[in-house]
Amino acid sequence: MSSSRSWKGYWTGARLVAPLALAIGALGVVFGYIARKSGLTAGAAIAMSATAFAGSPQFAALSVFTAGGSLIAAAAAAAGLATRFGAMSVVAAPALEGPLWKRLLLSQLVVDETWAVAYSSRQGFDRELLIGAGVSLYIVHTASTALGATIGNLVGTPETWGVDSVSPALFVILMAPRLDSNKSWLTIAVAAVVSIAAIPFAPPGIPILLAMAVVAIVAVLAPPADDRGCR
Amino acid sequence: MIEVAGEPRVDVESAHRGTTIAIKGVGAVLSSQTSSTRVSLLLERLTPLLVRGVLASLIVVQVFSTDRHLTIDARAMGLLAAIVAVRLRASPALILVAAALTTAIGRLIYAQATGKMS
Repeated sequence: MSSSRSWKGYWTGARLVAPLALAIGALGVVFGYIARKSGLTAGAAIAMSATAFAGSPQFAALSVFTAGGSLIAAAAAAAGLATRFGAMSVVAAPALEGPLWKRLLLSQLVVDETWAVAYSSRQGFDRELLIGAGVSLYIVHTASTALGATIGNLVGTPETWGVDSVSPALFVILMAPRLDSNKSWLTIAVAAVVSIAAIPFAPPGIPILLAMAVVAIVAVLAPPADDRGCR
Repeated sequence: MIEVAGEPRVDVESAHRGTTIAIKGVGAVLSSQTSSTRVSLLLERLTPLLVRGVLASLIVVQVFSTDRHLTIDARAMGLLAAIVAVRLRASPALILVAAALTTAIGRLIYAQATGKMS
């Protein structure tokens, strides 16, 4: 693999998530600010963003923690939301090459957005896309947390700006070219129905994991007759 | 194990060693060849479906849920705006802005009408 091809991949990955940077940055600022307000030091808030690199599990942990919950409860809330990253990493694993430490490090870049962006229908999961998208979002996430934790809340309530609609819109963009067969539509319908059915009953984060499980089970049980047309 | 003297005992030992090597060999072959090939083949078949499933699930969860409650609010308008923008072949940045702006405007109108934040 030539390094020029790598740089092109990194760049493409970074460019794909660039429109997300503002939304991620806004949430990072708010996270840093709330973390400070709830008694964490600026260093701890930044360290949390730098080591966890995950939006919703961090907020979940923080809200349990500030509601007077124990550290264990905070960890459990975050873990529930983070379980899907485990399953998503397994799916992306073939793209992570190299020694164990390198693969473990790379797998840390897997979050919803980078995982979705790193999948190309031609060659499956792409290492360079994942690194490019992951590293750029990581920098934005950590830097904005630092900003929020030190300077204060610069963005107010991010919901006012509709920031929470940015990530679903990215998924709509990524989904559009994949609505290419009956099988795709069926998969999407199954995942959507399972998610809706699970939301009232399962802890946050688990519906996504359940949807993955049901899709996998249905796909394994269904005869692999019409695999064509769904990449 | 029955204690046997002389030749048979050598046989038992070599049989034991042979079995160990065979099991190790089968294990190695299973893990390096058969099973991992089968697992990776299965994964290869499942991945396109899992990607679609995860995207659908993420959209549903992020747009239609608040904690454990199913909700329909301004985010649904944002989703609709994103779908329309994709159909109109807008650029990715424009699609994201359209979704955020629609949600923000939806919230503003709701807040004006009811005095609450949606």
